[in-house]
Amino acid sequence: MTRPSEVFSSRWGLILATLGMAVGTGNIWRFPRIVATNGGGSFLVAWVVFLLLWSVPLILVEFAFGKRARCGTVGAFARLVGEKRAWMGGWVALCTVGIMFYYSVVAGWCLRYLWAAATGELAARPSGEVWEGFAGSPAAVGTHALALGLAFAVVWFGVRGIERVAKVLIPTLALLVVVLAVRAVTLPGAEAGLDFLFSPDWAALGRVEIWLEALTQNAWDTGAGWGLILTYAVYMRAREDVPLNGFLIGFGNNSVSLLAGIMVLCTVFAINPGARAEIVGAGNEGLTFVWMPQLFARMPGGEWFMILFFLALSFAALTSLISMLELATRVLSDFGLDRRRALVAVGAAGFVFGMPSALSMPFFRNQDWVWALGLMVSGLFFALGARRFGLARLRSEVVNAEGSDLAIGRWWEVLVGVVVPVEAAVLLGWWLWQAGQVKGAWEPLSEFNVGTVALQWGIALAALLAANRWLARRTGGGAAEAAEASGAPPRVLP
Amino acid sequence: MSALAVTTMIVVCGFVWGGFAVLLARAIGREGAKRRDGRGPER
Repeated sequence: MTRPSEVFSSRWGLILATLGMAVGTGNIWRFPRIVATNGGGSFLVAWVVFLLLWSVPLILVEFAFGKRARCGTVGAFARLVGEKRAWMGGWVALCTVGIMFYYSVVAGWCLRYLWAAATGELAARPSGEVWEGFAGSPAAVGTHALALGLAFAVVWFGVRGIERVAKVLIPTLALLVVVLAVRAVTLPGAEAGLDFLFSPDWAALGRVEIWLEALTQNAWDTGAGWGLILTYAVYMRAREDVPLNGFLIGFGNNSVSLLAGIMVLCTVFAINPGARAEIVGAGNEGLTFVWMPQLFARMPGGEWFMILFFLALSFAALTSLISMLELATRVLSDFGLDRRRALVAVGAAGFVFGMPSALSMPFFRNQDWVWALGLMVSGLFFALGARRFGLARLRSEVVNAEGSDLAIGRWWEVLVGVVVPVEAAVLLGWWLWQAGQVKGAWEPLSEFNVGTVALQWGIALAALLAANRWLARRTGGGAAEAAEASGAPPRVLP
Repeated sequence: MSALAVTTMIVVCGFVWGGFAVLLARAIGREGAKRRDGRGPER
Protein backbone atom coordinates (compact mmCIF):
# COMPACT_ATOMS: atom_id res chain seq x y z
CA MET A 1 0.00 0.00 0.00
CA THR A 2 1.12 3.59 -0.63
CA ARG A 3 1.77 5.71 2.45
CA PRO A 4 0.27 9.21 2.72
CA SER A 5 3.05 11.62 1.85
CA GLU A 6 1.35 14.86 2.85
CA VAL A 7 0.18 16.41 6.11
CA PHE A 8 -1.90 19.46 6.92
CA SER A 9 0.45 22.43 7.18
CA SER A 10 -1.13 23.68 10.39
CA ARG A 11 -3.71 22.90 13.05
CA TRP A 12 -6.03 25.49 11.49
CA GLY A 13 -5.83 23.76 8.12
CA LEU A 14 -6.94 20.49 9.73
CA ILE A 15 -9.72 22.15 11.75
CA LEU A 16 -11.11 24.14 8.81
CA ALA A 17 -11.03 21.15 6.45
CA THR A 18 -12.75 18.96 9.06
CA LEU A 19 -15.33 21.65 9.82
CA GLY A 20 -15.93 21.90 6.07
CA MET A 21 -16.60 18.18 6.06
CA ALA A 22 -18.97 18.39 9.05
CA VAL A 23 -20.94 21.47 8.00
CA GLY A 24 -23.08 20.39 5.07
CA THR A 25 -26.55 20.88 3.71
CA GLY A 26 -27.95 18.92 6.68
CA ASN A 27 -27.08 21.84 8.98
CA ILE A 28 -28.93 24.34 6.82
CA TRP A 29 -31.88 22.48 5.35
CA ARG A 30 -32.58 19.64 7.82
CA PHE A 31 -31.82 21.06 11.27
CA PRO A 32 -34.32 24.00 11.18
CA ARG A 33 -37.05 21.71 9.87
CA ILE A 34 -36.47 19.03 12.51
CA VAL A 35 -36.32 21.58 15.35
CA ALA A 36 -39.57 23.13 14.16
CA THR A 37 -41.42 19.82 14.02
CA ASN A 38 -40.07 18.41 17.30
CA GLY A 39 -40.89 20.83 20.05
CA GLY A 40 -38.41 23.69 19.50
CA GLY A 41 -36.58 24.34 22.76
CA SER A 42 -37.17 20.82 24.09
CA PHE A 43 -35.52 19.35 21.02
CA LEU A 44 -32.55 21.67 21.46
CA VAL A 45 -31.95 20.34 24.98
CA ALA A 46 -31.92 16.73 23.70
CA TRP A 47 -29.76 17.77 20.73
CA VAL A 48 -27.12 19.30 23.03
CA VAL A 49 -27.14 16.16 25.20
CA PHE A 50 -26.41 13.92 22.20
CA LEU A 51 -23.66 16.23 20.98
CA LEU A 52 -21.85 15.05 24.10
CA LEU A 53 -23.13 11.46 24.16
CA TRP A 54 -22.74 10.55 20.48
CA SER A 55 -20.90 13.08 18.31
CA VAL A 56 -17.90 14.09 20.41
CA PRO A 57 -17.00 10.55 21.62
CA LEU A 58 -17.12 9.19 18.06
CA ILE A 59 -15.22 12.16 16.60
CA LEU A 60 -12.42 11.36 19.07
CA VAL A 61 -12.46 7.68 18.02
CA GLU A 62 -12.18 8.66 14.36
CA PHE A 63 -9.33 11.11 14.98
CA ALA A 64 -7.53 8.46 17.04
CA PHE A 65 -7.99 5.72 14.41
CA GLY A 66 -6.76 7.90 11.54
CA LYS A 67 -3.80 9.27 13.45
CA ARG A 68 -2.74 5.83 14.69
CA ALA A 69 -3.29 3.78 11.54
CA ARG A 70 -2.31 6.42 8.94
CA CYS A 71 -4.56 4.82 6.36
CA GLY A 72 -8.19 4.97 5.24
CA THR A 73 -11.16 3.23 6.82
CA VAL A 74 -10.47 -0.28 5.47
CA GLY A 75 -6.80 -0.24 6.43
CA ALA A 76 -7.51 1.37 9.79
CA PHE A 77 -9.93 -1.40 10.81
CA ALA A 78 -7.62 -4.11 9.43
CA ARG A 79 -4.62 -2.69 11.29
CA LEU A 80 -6.20 -1.63 14.56
CA VAL A 81 -9.16 -3.96 15.02
CA GLY A 82 -7.84 -7.05 13.30
CA GLU A 83 -7.49 -8.62 9.87
CA LYS A 84 -10.81 -10.40 10.23
CA ARG A 85 -12.56 -7.05 10.59
CA ALA A 86 -11.35 -5.19 7.52
CA TRP A 87 -14.89 -5.58 6.17
CA MET A 88 -16.15 -3.24 8.93
CA GLY A 89 -13.95 -0.48 7.56
CA GLY A 90 -15.23 -1.44 4.12
CA TRP A 91 -18.80 -0.95 5.37
CA VAL A 92 -17.97 2.53 6.66
CA ALA A 93 -16.43 3.45 3.30
CA LEU A 94 -19.29 1.91 1.35
CA CYS A 95 -21.99 3.85 3.22
CA THR A 96 -20.18 7.16 2.78
CA VAL A 97 -19.45 6.48 -0.88
CA GLY A 98 -23.12 5.49 -1.33
CA ILE A 99 -24.00 8.91 0.09
CA MET A 100 -21.37 10.61 -2.10
CA PHE A 101 -23.11 9.29 -5.22
CA TYR A 102 -26.27 11.26 -4.49
CA TYR A 103 -24.68 14.07 -2.48
CA SER A 104 -23.00 15.43 -5.59
CA VAL A 105 -26.52 15.66 -7.07
CA VAL A 106 -27.54 17.78 -4.04
CA ALA A 107 -24.43 19.95 -4.45
CA GLY A 108 -25.42 20.35 -8.12
CA TRP A 109 -28.91 21.52 -7.11
CA CYS A 110 -27.32 24.15 -4.85
CA LEU A 111 -25.10 25.40 -7.69
CA ARG A 112 -28.09 25.52 -10.06
CA TYR A 113 -30.05 27.62 -7.58
CA LEU A 114 -27.07 29.86 -6.93
CA TRP A 115 -26.99 30.53 -10.66
CA ALA A 116 -30.76 31.07 -10.78
CA ALA A 117 -30.57 33.49 -7.85
CA ALA A 118 -27.62 35.40 -9.30
CA THR A 119 -29.17 35.79 -12.76
CA GLY A 120 -32.57 36.87 -11.45
CA GLU A 121 -34.31 33.72 -12.72
CA LEU A 122 -35.70 32.96 -9.26
CA ALA A 123 -37.14 36.46 -9.01
CA ALA A 124 -38.75 36.18 -12.46
CA ARG A 125 -40.22 32.66 -12.22
CA PRO A 126 -42.06 30.88 -9.40
CA SER A 127 -39.50 28.78 -7.51
CA GLY A 128 -41.85 25.78 -7.52
CA GLU A 129 -41.92 25.89 -11.31
CA VAL A 130 -38.11 26.13 -11.46
CA TRP A 131 -37.81 23.11 -9.14
CA GLU A 132 -40.40 21.01 -11.00
CA GLY A 133 -38.66 21.66 -14.29
CA PHE A 134 -35.23 20.89 -12.94
CA ALA A 135 -35.33 18.07 -10.35
CA GLY A 136 -34.98 14.68 -12.02
CA SER A 137 -34.27 16.23 -15.45
CA PRO A 138 -31.16 15.78 -17.63
CA ALA A 139 -30.12 19.28 -16.52
CA ALA A 140 -29.63 17.85 -13.01
CA VAL A 141 -27.09 15.44 -14.50
CA GLY A 142 -25.14 18.45 -15.78
CA THR A 143 -25.07 20.17 -12.38
CA HIS A 144 -24.19 16.84 -10.74
CA ALA A 145 -21.20 16.62 -13.09
CA LEU A 146 -20.27 20.24 -12.37
CA ALA A 147 -20.30 19.73 -8.59
CA LEU A 148 -18.32 16.52 -8.89
CA GLY A 149 -15.86 18.23 -11.24
CA LEU A 150 -15.25 21.09 -8.79
CA ALA A 151 -14.65 18.70 -5.90
CA PHE A 152 -12.45 16.54 -8.14
CA ALA A 153 -10.30 19.55 -9.05
CA VAL A 154 -9.70 20.33 -5.37
CA VAL A 155 -8.86 16.74 -4.37
CA TRP A 156 -6.55 16.46 -7.40
CA PHE A 157 -4.12 18.78 -5.59
CA GLY A 158 -4.14 16.56 -2.51
CA VAL A 159 -4.27 17.68 1.10
CA ARG A 160 -2.77 21.06 0.24
CA GLY A 161 -5.61 21.66 -2.22
CA ILE A 162 -8.22 20.66 0.36
CA GLU A 163 -6.58 22.85 3.00
CA ARG A 164 -6.30 25.92 0.77
CA VAL A 165 -9.92 25.70 -0.33
CA ALA A 166 -11.15 25.12 3.23
CA LYS A 167 -9.23 28.18 4.45
CA VAL A 168 -11.23 30.33 2.04
CA LEU A 169 -14.64 28.64 1.94
CA ILE A 170 -15.22 27.88 5.63
CA PRO A 171 -14.59 31.38 7.06
CA THR A 172 -16.67 32.77 4.17
CA LEU A 173 -19.45 30.26 4.89
CA ALA A 174 -19.43 31.21 8.58
CA LEU A 175 -19.62 34.90 7.67
CA LEU A 176 -22.49 34.28 5.24
CA VAL A 177 -24.50 32.32 7.80
CA VAL A 178 -23.93 35.05 10.43
CA VAL A 179 -25.00 37.79 7.97
CA LEU A 180 -28.13 35.84 7.00
CA ALA A 181 -29.01 35.10 10.64
CA VAL A 182 -28.55 38.76 11.64
CA ARG A 183 -30.72 39.85 8.71
CA ALA A 184 -33.39 37.32 9.70
CA VAL A 185 -33.56 38.35 13.38
CA THR A 186 -33.83 42.03 12.42
CA LEU A 187 -36.92 41.45 10.24
CA PRO A 188 -40.19 42.73 11.71
CA GLY A 189 -41.95 39.80 13.34
CA ALA A 190 -38.79 37.68 13.62
CA GLU A 191 -39.22 37.58 17.39
CA ALA A 192 -42.03 35.05 16.94
CA GLY A 193 -39.53 32.76 15.19
CA LEU A 194 -37.12 33.00 18.12
CA ASP A 195 -39.97 32.40 20.54
CA PHE A 196 -41.02 29.30 18.59
CA LEU A 197 -37.44 28.02 18.29
CA PHE A 198 -36.52 28.41 21.94
CA SER A 199 -39.81 27.87 23.80
CA PRO A 200 -39.45 24.52 25.55
CA ASP A 201 -42.34 22.14 25.86
CA TRP A 202 -41.23 20.18 28.90
CA ALA A 203 -43.87 17.50 28.30
CA ALA A 204 -42.24 16.84 24.91
CA LEU A 205 -39.03 15.78 26.68
CA GLY A 206 -40.96 12.76 27.90
CA ARG A 207 -41.57 11.66 24.31
CA VAL A 208 -39.05 9.13 23.06
CA GLU A 209 -39.29 10.42 19.45
CA ILE A 210 -37.86 13.82 20.43
CA TRP A 211 -34.73 12.14 21.82
CA LEU A 212 -34.40 9.80 18.86
CA GLU A 213 -34.76 12.67 16.38
CA ALA A 214 -32.14 14.65 18.31
CA LEU A 215 -29.77 11.69 18.23
CA THR A 216 -30.44 11.15 14.52
CA GLN A 217 -29.67 14.80 13.79
CA ASN A 218 -26.35 14.54 15.61
CA ALA A 219 -25.53 11.26 13.84
CA TRP A 220 -26.20 12.74 10.41
CA ASP A 221 -24.93 16.28 10.58
CA THR A 222 -21.73 16.20 12.65
CA GLY A 223 -20.01 13.66 10.41
CA ALA A 224 -19.24 11.44 13.43
CA GLY A 225 -19.02 7.81 12.36
CA TRP A 226 -18.86 8.53 8.62
CA GLY A 227 -15.13 7.75 8.29
CA LEU A 228 -14.48 11.25 6.96
CA ILE A 229 -12.78 12.55 10.11
CA LEU A 230 -10.64 9.40 10.13
CA THR A 231 -9.63 10.18 6.55
CA TYR A 232 -8.51 13.73 7.37
CA ALA A 233 -6.82 12.51 10.57
CA VAL A 234 -4.53 10.37 8.36
CA TYR A 235 -2.89 13.67 7.38
CA MET A 236 -2.52 15.07 10.92
CA ARG A 237 0.93 16.11 11.96
CA ALA A 238 2.75 13.62 14.19
CA ARG A 239 2.23 15.39 17.52
CA GLU A 240 -1.07 17.06 16.68
CA ASP A 241 -3.74 17.36 19.37
CA VAL A 242 -6.75 15.04 19.21
CA PRO A 243 -9.19 15.90 22.05
CA LEU A 244 -9.40 19.68 21.77
CA ASN A 245 -9.70 19.47 17.98
CA GLY A 246 -12.44 16.85 18.38
CA PHE A 247 -14.48 19.03 20.73
CA LEU A 248 -13.95 22.04 18.43
CA ILE A 249 -15.39 20.16 15.44
CA GLY A 250 -18.48 19.03 17.35
CA PHE A 251 -19.22 22.42 18.88
CA GLY A 252 -18.33 24.29 15.67
CA ASN A 253 -20.68 22.17 13.59
CA ASN A 254 -23.57 22.58 16.02
CA SER A 255 -22.89 26.34 16.26
CA VAL A 256 -23.55 26.61 12.52
CA SER A 257 -26.71 24.48 12.86
CA LEU A 258 -28.03 26.81 15.54
CA LEU A 259 -27.36 29.86 13.36
CA ALA A 260 -29.12 28.16 10.43
CA GLY A 261 -32.12 27.36 12.63
CA ILE A 262 -32.39 31.00 13.70
CA MET A 263 -31.94 32.19 10.11
CA VAL A 264 -34.61 29.94 8.59
CA LEU A 265 -37.25 30.08 11.33
CA CYS A 266 -37.02 33.86 11.84
CA THR A 267 -37.36 34.34 8.07
CA VAL A 268 -40.39 32.03 7.94
CA PHE A 269 -42.14 33.65 10.91
CA ALA A 270 -41.38 37.19 9.73
CA ILE A 271 -42.43 36.77 6.11
CA ASN A 272 -45.13 34.10 6.04
CA PRO A 273 -46.14 32.95 9.53
CA GLY A 274 -49.47 31.60 8.31
CA ALA A 275 -47.77 28.95 6.17
CA ARG A 276 -45.16 27.86 8.72
CA ALA A 277 -46.56 24.34 9.15
CA GLU A 278 -46.65 23.85 5.39
CA ILE A 279 -43.12 25.27 4.98
CA VAL A 280 -41.40 23.14 7.63
CA GLY A 281 -43.39 20.11 6.49
CA ALA A 282 -42.26 20.49 2.88
CA GLY A 283 -39.17 18.30 3.30
CA ASN A 284 -35.53 19.32 2.78
CA GLU A 285 -35.86 20.10 -0.91
CA GLY A 286 -39.28 21.74 -0.58
CA LEU A 287 -38.10 24.05 2.19
CA THR A 288 -34.86 25.01 0.48
CA PHE A 289 -35.66 25.14 -3.20
CA VAL A 290 -39.35 26.03 -3.23
CA TRP A 291 -40.13 28.01 -0.08
CA MET A 292 -36.92 29.88 0.75
CA PRO A 293 -36.76 31.67 -2.65
CA GLN A 294 -40.38 32.75 -2.16
CA LEU A 295 -39.63 34.10 1.29
CA PHE A 296 -36.52 35.94 0.11
CA ALA A 297 -38.50 37.44 -2.80
CA ARG A 298 -40.82 39.11 -0.27
CA MET A 299 -38.00 40.46 1.90
CA PRO A 300 -36.52 43.96 1.38
CA GLY A 301 -33.24 43.41 -0.52
CA GLY A 302 -34.18 39.74 -0.64
CA GLU A 303 -32.60 39.11 -4.05
CA TRP A 304 -29.16 39.75 -2.53
CA PHE A 305 -29.80 37.63 0.54
CA MET A 306 -31.09 34.84 -1.70
CA ILE A 307 -27.73 34.82 -3.52
CA LEU A 308 -25.89 34.71 -0.17
CA PHE A 309 -28.13 31.87 1.03
CA PHE A 310 -27.46 29.66 -2.00
CA LEU A 311 -23.78 30.62 -1.94
CA ALA A 312 -23.59 29.40 1.69
CA LEU A 313 -25.46 26.23 0.80
CA SER A 314 -23.15 25.59 -2.18
CA PHE A 315 -20.02 26.09 -0.06
CA ALA A 316 -21.39 23.76 2.63
CA ALA A 317 -22.24 21.08 0.06
CA LEU A 318 -18.95 21.31 -1.85
CA THR A 319 -16.67 21.13 1.19
CA SER A 320 -18.52 18.00 2.37
CA LEU A 321 -18.39 16.47 -1.11
CA ILE A 322 -14.63 17.09 -1.23
CA SER A 323 -14.15 15.04 1.95
CA MET A 324 -16.22 12.17 0.53
CA LEU A 325 -14.09 12.08 -2.62
CA GLU A 326 -10.97 12.12 -0.48
CA LEU A 327 -12.25 9.19 1.62
CA ALA A 328 -12.80 7.00 -1.44
CA THR A 329 -9.48 8.09 -2.98
CA ARG A 330 -7.62 7.31 0.25
CA VAL A 331 -9.15 3.82 0.46
CA LEU A 332 -8.18 3.02 -3.15
CA SER A 333 -4.69 4.46 -2.60
CA ASP A 334 -4.30 2.13 0.36
CA PHE A 335 -4.97 -0.76 -2.03
CA GLY A 336 -1.86 0.32 -3.92
CA LEU A 337 -3.40 2.45 -6.63
CA ASP A 338 -1.61 5.64 -7.63
CA ARG A 339 -3.43 8.52 -5.91
CA ARG A 340 -4.44 10.40 -9.05
CA ARG A 341 -5.56 7.24 -10.81
CA ALA A 342 -7.59 6.39 -7.74
CA LEU A 343 -9.20 9.82 -7.87
CA VAL A 344 -10.06 9.43 -11.56
CA ALA A 345 -11.70 6.09 -10.77
CA VAL A 346 -13.65 7.63 -7.89
CA GLY A 347 -14.73 10.60 -10.01
CA ALA A 348 -15.88 8.37 -12.87
CA ALA A 349 -17.78 6.06 -10.50
CA GLY A 350 -19.29 9.08 -8.75
CA PHE A 351 -20.60 10.44 -12.04
CA VAL A 352 -22.02 7.13 -13.28
CA PHE A 353 -23.58 5.95 -10.02
CA GLY A 354 -24.88 9.42 -9.18
CA MET A 355 -26.81 9.68 -12.45
CA PRO A 356 -29.82 7.60 -11.32
CA SER A 357 -30.27 9.91 -8.32
CA ALA A 358 -29.98 12.95 -10.60
CA LEU A 359 -32.65 11.59 -12.94
CA SER A 360 -35.08 10.08 -10.45
CA MET A 361 -36.26 11.62 -7.18
CA PRO A 362 -37.68 8.29 -5.87
CA PHE A 363 -34.27 6.68 -6.47
CA PHE A 364 -32.57 9.63 -4.75
CA ARG A 365 -34.85 9.29 -1.71
CA ASN A 366 -34.28 5.53 -1.61
CA GLN A 367 -30.51 5.96 -1.55
CA ASP A 368 -30.76 8.68 1.09
CA TRP A 369 -32.80 6.30 3.26
CA VAL A 370 -30.64 3.20 2.82
CA TRP A 371 -27.14 4.67 3.20
CA ALA A 372 -27.93 7.37 5.75
CA LEU A 373 -29.35 4.61 7.95
CA GLY A 374 -26.17 2.63 7.31
CA LEU A 375 -24.24 5.41 9.06
CA MET A 376 -25.70 4.27 12.36
CA VAL A 377 -24.12 0.88 11.77
CA SER A 378 -20.88 2.68 10.91
CA GLY A 379 -21.02 4.51 14.25
CA LEU A 380 -21.60 1.20 15.98
CA PHE A 381 -18.61 -0.34 14.16
CA PHE A 382 -16.34 2.50 15.29
CA ALA A 383 -17.42 2.00 18.90
CA LEU A 384 -16.99 -1.80 18.72
CA GLY A 385 -13.69 -1.41 16.88
CA ALA A 386 -12.35 0.95 19.54
CA ARG A 387 -13.47 -1.50 22.24
CA ARG A 388 -11.64 -4.33 20.55
CA PHE A 389 -8.47 -2.27 20.14
CA GLY A 390 -8.72 -1.40 23.82
CA LEU A 391 -10.34 1.83 24.94
CA ALA A 392 -7.83 2.46 27.71
CA ARG A 393 -4.98 1.86 25.26
CA LEU A 394 -6.50 4.11 22.59
CA ARG A 395 -7.04 6.84 25.18
CA SER A 396 -3.55 6.73 26.65
CA GLU A 397 -1.56 6.03 23.47
CA VAL A 398 -3.37 8.27 20.98
CA VAL A 399 -6.07 10.53 22.44
CA ASN A 400 -4.04 11.72 25.42
CA ALA A 401 -0.66 11.32 23.71
CA GLU A 402 2.04 13.98 23.71
CA GLY A 403 0.78 17.14 22.06
CA SER A 404 -2.77 16.83 23.37
CA ASP A 405 -4.23 20.03 24.77
CA LEU A 406 -6.95 18.41 26.88
CA ALA A 407 -6.83 15.32 29.06
CA ILE A 408 -9.70 12.96 28.36
CA GLY A 409 -10.85 10.94 31.36
CA ARG A 410 -12.30 7.48 31.75
CA TRP A 411 -15.79 8.85 31.02
CA TRP A 412 -14.91 8.64 27.32
CA GLU A 413 -14.29 4.89 27.60
CA VAL A 414 -17.72 4.44 29.17
CA LEU A 415 -19.39 6.52 26.47
CA VAL A 416 -17.69 4.73 23.56
CA GLY A 417 -17.79 1.28 25.11
CA VAL A 418 -21.35 1.28 26.44
CA VAL A 419 -23.43 4.37 25.62
CA VAL A 420 -22.70 4.72 21.89
CA PRO A 421 -23.42 1.03 21.06
CA VAL A 422 -26.72 1.24 22.97
CA GLU A 423 -27.62 4.49 21.16
CA ALA A 424 -26.81 2.96 17.77
CA ALA A 425 -28.84 -0.19 18.49
CA VAL A 426 -31.87 1.79 19.72
CA LEU A 427 -31.69 4.21 16.79
CA LEU A 428 -31.43 1.43 14.23
CA GLY A 429 -34.28 -0.47 15.83
CA TRP A 430 -36.46 2.63 15.88
CA TRP A 431 -35.91 3.55 12.23
CA LEU A 432 -36.35 -0.03 11.04
CA TRP A 433 -39.50 -0.40 13.15
CA GLN A 434 -40.93 2.73 11.48
CA ALA A 435 -40.01 1.39 8.06
CA GLY A 436 -41.66 -1.89 9.00
CA GLN A 437 -45.00 -0.15 9.50
CA VAL A 438 -45.42 0.90 5.84
CA LYS A 439 -47.52 -1.15 3.46
CA GLY A 440 -45.42 -3.82 1.72
CA ALA A 441 -42.65 -3.46 4.30
CA TRP A 442 -40.53 -6.27 2.80
CA GLU A 443 -41.00 -5.32 -0.87
CA PRO A 444 -37.33 -4.98 -1.90
CA LEU A 445 -37.81 -2.41 -4.64
CA SER A 446 -39.75 0.13 -2.57
CA GLU A 447 -38.53 3.63 -1.89
CA PHE A 448 -38.77 3.52 1.91
CA ASN A 449 -39.19 0.25 3.81
CA VAL A 450 -37.26 -2.55 5.51
CA GLY A 451 -37.08 -4.71 2.40
CA THR A 452 -35.00 -2.27 0.36
CA VAL A 453 -32.57 -1.89 3.30
CA ALA A 454 -32.30 -5.67 3.71
CA LEU A 455 -31.62 -6.16 0.00
CA GLN A 456 -28.97 -3.46 -0.42
CA TRP A 457 -27.26 -4.01 2.92
CA GLY A 458 -27.34 -7.75 2.34
CA ILE A 459 -25.56 -7.45 -1.01
CA ALA A 460 -23.01 -5.01 0.43
CA LEU A 461 -22.29 -7.15 3.50
CA ALA A 462 -22.01 -10.37 1.50
CA ALA A 463 -19.53 -8.75 -0.89
CA LEU A 464 -17.47 -7.24 1.93
CA LEU A 465 -17.33 -10.47 3.95
CA ALA A 466 -16.35 -12.44 0.84
CA ALA A 467 -13.57 -9.94 0.08
CA ASN A 468 -12.40 -9.54 3.69
CA ARG A 469 -9.15 -11.46 3.38
CA TRP A 470 -8.22 -9.58 0.22
CA LEU A 471 -9.10 -6.23 1.81
CA ALA A 472 -6.94 -6.99 4.85
CA ARG A 473 -4.00 -8.21 2.76
CA ARG A 474 -4.04 -5.22 0.42
CA THR A 475 -4.09 -2.71 3.27
CA GLY A 476 -1.37 -4.25 5.41
CA GLY A 477 -3.64 -6.04 7.88
CA GLY A 478 -2.56 -6.47 11.48
CA ALA A 479 1.10 -7.06 10.71
CA ALA A 480 2.09 -3.40 10.97
CA GLU A 481 0.21 -2.90 14.21
CA ALA A 482 1.78 -6.03 15.66
CA ALA A 483 5.21 -4.77 14.67
CA GLU A 484 4.56 -1.47 16.41
CA ALA A 485 3.26 -3.17 19.53
CA SER A 486 6.39 -5.34 19.66
CA GLY A 487 8.58 -2.27 19.79
CA ALA A 488 9.52 -1.90 16.15
CA PRO A 489 10.25 1.71 15.14
CA PRO A 490 7.08 3.68 14.51
CA ARG A 491 6.30 4.81 11.01
CA VAL A 492 7.29 8.44 10.57
CA LEU A 493 5.62 10.51 7.93
CA PRO A 494 7.95 12.19 5.49
CA MET B 1 -40.64 36.42 23.59
CA SER B 2 -41.55 34.63 26.78
CA ALA B 3 -39.16 34.64 29.72
CA LEU B 4 -38.83 30.86 29.39
CA ALA B 5 -37.85 31.14 25.71
CA VAL B 6 -35.27 33.83 26.55
CA THR B 7 -33.82 31.62 29.31
CA THR B 8 -33.63 28.58 27.01
CA MET B 9 -32.02 30.71 24.30
CA ILE B 10 -29.36 31.98 26.70
CA VAL B 11 -28.65 28.47 28.02
CA VAL B 12 -28.54 26.68 24.64
CA CYS B 13 -26.74 29.40 22.67
CA GLY B 14 -24.46 30.07 25.62
CA PHE B 15 -23.47 26.42 25.84
CA VAL B 16 -23.00 25.81 22.10
CA TRP B 17 -21.52 29.13 20.96
CA GLY B 18 -19.87 29.86 24.28
CA GLY B 19 -18.40 26.37 24.31
CA PHE B 20 -17.07 26.82 20.80
CA ALA B 21 -15.56 30.22 21.67
CA VAL B 22 -13.86 28.88 24.80
CA LEU B 23 -12.45 25.86 22.93
CA LEU B 24 -11.23 28.06 20.08
CA ALA B 25 -9.57 30.47 22.50
CA ARG B 26 -7.86 27.55 24.23
CA ALA B 27 -6.64 26.13 20.91
CA ILE B 28 -5.27 29.53 19.89
CA GLY B 29 -3.54 29.89 23.25
CA ARG B 30 -2.03 26.39 23.18
CA GLU B 31 -0.86 26.82 19.60
CA GLY B 32 0.82 30.12 20.50
CA ALA B 33 2.50 28.55 23.54
CA LYS B 34 3.79 25.61 21.49
CA ARG B 35 5.21 28.00 18.91
CA ARG B 36 6.93 30.10 21.57
CA ASP B 37 8.40 26.97 23.15
CA GLY B 38 9.57 25.75 19.75
CA ARG B 39 7.78 22.40 20.16
CA GLY B 40 5.19 22.54 17.43
CA PRO B 41 3.86 19.26 16.04
CA GLU B 42 6.40 17.56 13.83
CA ARG B 43 5.56 17.09 10.20
